[in-house]
Amino acid sequence: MAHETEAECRLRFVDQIDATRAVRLDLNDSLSWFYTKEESDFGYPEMRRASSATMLRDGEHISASAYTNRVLTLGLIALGADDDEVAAQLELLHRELDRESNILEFKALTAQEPVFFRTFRTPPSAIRRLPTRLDTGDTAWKVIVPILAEPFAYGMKESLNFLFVDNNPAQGTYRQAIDLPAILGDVPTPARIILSPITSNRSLVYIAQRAHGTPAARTWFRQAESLTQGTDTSVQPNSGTMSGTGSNFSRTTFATITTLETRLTAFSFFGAESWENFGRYRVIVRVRKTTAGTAGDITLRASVAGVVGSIVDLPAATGPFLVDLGLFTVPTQPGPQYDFDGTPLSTADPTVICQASGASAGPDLDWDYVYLLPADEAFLIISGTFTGGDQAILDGPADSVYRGGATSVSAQNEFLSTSGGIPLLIPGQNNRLFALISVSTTDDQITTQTNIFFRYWPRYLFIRS
Amino acid sequence: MSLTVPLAVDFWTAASKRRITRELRSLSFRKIALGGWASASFSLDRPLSVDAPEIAQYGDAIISDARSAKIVWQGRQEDPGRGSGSDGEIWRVNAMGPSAHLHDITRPAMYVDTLWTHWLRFFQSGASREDGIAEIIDGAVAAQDDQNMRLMAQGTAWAQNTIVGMKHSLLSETGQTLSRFSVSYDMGETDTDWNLEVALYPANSIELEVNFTTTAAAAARVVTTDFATGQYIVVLRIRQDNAVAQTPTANTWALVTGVRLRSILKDAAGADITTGASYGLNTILASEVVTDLLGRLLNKFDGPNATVTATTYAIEQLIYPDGVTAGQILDDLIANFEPTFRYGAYEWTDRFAASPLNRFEWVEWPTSVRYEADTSDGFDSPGSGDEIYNAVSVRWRDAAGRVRRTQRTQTVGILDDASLTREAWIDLGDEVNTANNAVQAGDSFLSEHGIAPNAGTLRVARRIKDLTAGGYVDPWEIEPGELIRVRNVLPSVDALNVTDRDAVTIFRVQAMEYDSSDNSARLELDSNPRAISSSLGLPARARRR
Repeated sequence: MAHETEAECRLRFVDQIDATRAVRLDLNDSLSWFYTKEESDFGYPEMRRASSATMLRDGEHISASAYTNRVLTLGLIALGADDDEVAAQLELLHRELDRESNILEFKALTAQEPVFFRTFRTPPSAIRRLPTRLDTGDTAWKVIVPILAEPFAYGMKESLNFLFVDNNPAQGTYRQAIDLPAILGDVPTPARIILSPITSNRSLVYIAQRAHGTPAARTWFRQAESLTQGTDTSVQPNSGTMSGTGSNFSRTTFATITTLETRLTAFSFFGAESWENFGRYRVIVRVRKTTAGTAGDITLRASVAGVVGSIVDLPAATGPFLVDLGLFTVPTQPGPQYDFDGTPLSTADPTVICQASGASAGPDLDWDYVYLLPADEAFLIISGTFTGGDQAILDGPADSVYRGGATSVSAQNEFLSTSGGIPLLIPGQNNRLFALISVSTTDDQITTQTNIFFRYWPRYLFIRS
Repeated sequence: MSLTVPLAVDFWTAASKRRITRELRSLSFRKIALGGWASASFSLDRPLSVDAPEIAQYGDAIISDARSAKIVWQGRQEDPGRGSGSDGEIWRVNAMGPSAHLHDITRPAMYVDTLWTHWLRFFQSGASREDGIAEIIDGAVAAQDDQNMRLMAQGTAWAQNTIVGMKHSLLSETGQTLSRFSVSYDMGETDTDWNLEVALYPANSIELEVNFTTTAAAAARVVTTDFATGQYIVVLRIRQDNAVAQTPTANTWALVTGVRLRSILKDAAGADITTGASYGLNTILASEVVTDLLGRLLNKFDGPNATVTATTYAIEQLIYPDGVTAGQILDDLIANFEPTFRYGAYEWTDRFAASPLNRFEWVEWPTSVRYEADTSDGFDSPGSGDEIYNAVSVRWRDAAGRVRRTQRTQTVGILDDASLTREAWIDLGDEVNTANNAVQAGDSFLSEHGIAPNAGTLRVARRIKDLTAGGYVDPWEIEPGELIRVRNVLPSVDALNVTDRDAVTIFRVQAMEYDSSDNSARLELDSNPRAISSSLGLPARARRR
């Protein structure tokens, strides 16, 4: 054979990216099909950019970029005893190429693992007959196929079996947060996250991500009893429904001031200046009322680094429950995060203030903890009931959130409402995912536990390492 | 930033909730200072033959920031359309923001009525005297508001309880009830046989009864304190009160020199405000009207949690007998009385509620700069002297229904330097017609036209400073209704101490339109306060001549 083929290279259409995949058509079986190196090019996906340029300054500003689909150019030789045999093989090829979508597996000669390209319907671009083999008399045709494919190659599914997440920042192995092991791949990949409550239902979820710096080493929440107590506010003895040990919550009685007033202050929330303080945060507090009241009988408001948020009315229920006090930016000064030479610039540690108003004759307010959840990489809010059997599936690859069981999508017509984005797992970074999961908007229990399953398919620009 | 734009798009209906970001071919949305979140447009690559339960008229369309879960825009789907062509099979969905709810309901309304044209002589069998006089006459003084109601007894032998009078029933047409009435009166003689009365219906209660006296006086009554709730017809009459029949003289007349009627307002939660002390004046504030609209018509907005900044100008006349939407009333309030205010409807206040309501605010334009940007991505500032005026004529109808004109002027240096007088014309129609209201409307107009409004645009395709929330914001996060300082334009130290736009460096962001195809926002700067009707393509309300 005059053409340089690569017998040990695996190139074939398969039905799924899974260990149990079935081969639809092997394009390098060394019997009917041969893959030729010199006419093949896997290439790289190009990139689309949104840029703006004027004569007012040098260069262009790139405001957004996205990979385009890639073209895999395959040089193939179809071999047969005669033209009819070759035609039969070409027919198989044409059927695979004509599928609306397909999966092309490729494993390079000395690579350990294959990668998979998700391809689109593509016709061959050229076909010509090769000289008949003199030794065997076989007939050969060469086919050039420029296959359109998604930008990235995918590795086999990586799974992290269930992680037992406690809804308690002070107890358990995974205390409302999971630090994922090293993520494979060249580019960020969407996660598939399955939330399966251990007992009872859930209907409110906050998922947040921080994947730069050392998120595992940072402080993200503060116990209320550790903060500076403000007006009408004092540390209380232990309560079993509050997180932490010993005296584990603070109480505001509204005995002297009933209007919005500072009740808790964290003067240096993160504990130190750091470049990692830079970012946007969502303030979440866990509170409860001593008695049920009326909606809005107690109001809360947060202030971060001097910027005051919106007033939030508490519901009538006693709770405890999580309250979202809004988004804040640190620092408030519009300075850069990195110096021109790429050196991270330190950002001051913000002061976080929690204010509350209420009636002296009304219910008192108990504070458990204050979270600054990062909201600058991925943040997802989910509302809607799901159970252990009818789980919440955060399907990043499909960019969809729905209810389902272990192997099937739920047939129930109750839908999960979402806003925000499903996390993208960043390779080469420490990925920390926060999960605050409540029974409902008016009921958050520190004793609830949730199994969280992680799946992802690594994404590569070419072959995997 | 140079990654993919981190926006997520969800469509919700009762039949499905689905994220459709990946199918989007294009995405754009628009926000405006007068109205809030206005419109959005989506096109999806999707087969026409596939059922789409998440796409339906009045389904929800939500755009959120994937990094923070902040809702960037939301509204209701309208006009879902499908098409097939060389580009493939495409679904096109337009959506209207919560500002569209400002035009959901059209109703007549009466807030303060001083018009004599709404009073009609009535005849009550067995009581009214046909030879009595009940008419609206002009006064002798050449003042614009000098119209009166004259009630006069004529003829002979008026039996006890015979009457002549006029009736006001506009409230029965608007579906509202009375909160206050005030009358000023004078009589031709002092005579205890004759009374001037104000009777309210349907209660048929006499709430004001004064003997004829030549001493001019005034009186006011308010709901709950003085009369029961639920009254919507007001009768002004004179009555003979002596058991012996009386023959009137040439001075047996009462002159009602001013009548002010106010309707009951609703609070932001929709409950009637029936406390008499709430109606201590003959005028109404624009902020009170806004609160009433929240409780009366705007049931898709979170009235109790709305931000309504108090206004100060006392509106003397405000009625809409021909029907009006809440949005049109708000536009009138800003255009005629409170030009420094703006309003808007935005995201849900409680996204977890079963039937979430939208946040609403009625606030003043800020006096401090929020955004700082430069011209790198494109800036167009045509500037036009066509919008500068140093005079305005205001056409209005007086209480007697006659057409009036009020002229207002201001000093504009560049016009004076050019020895030019430019006079505009404003037609207040039939709804806002007192001399003082005309003055306020004229002055409001001139205040907005003393500097050439810079109807330019600024394109923003990068993160810019947010001096209020701190840090930087992406193009899709820019909100209209704020001031922006544009650098690389004629510098001025005044631009650092700004209290309002200067049309050179400081501008009002009147509207923002974002397009995901190039991740840029196009900001419409200054321009005249644009009524939401023009943004939505709605016809301006025809005013009765």
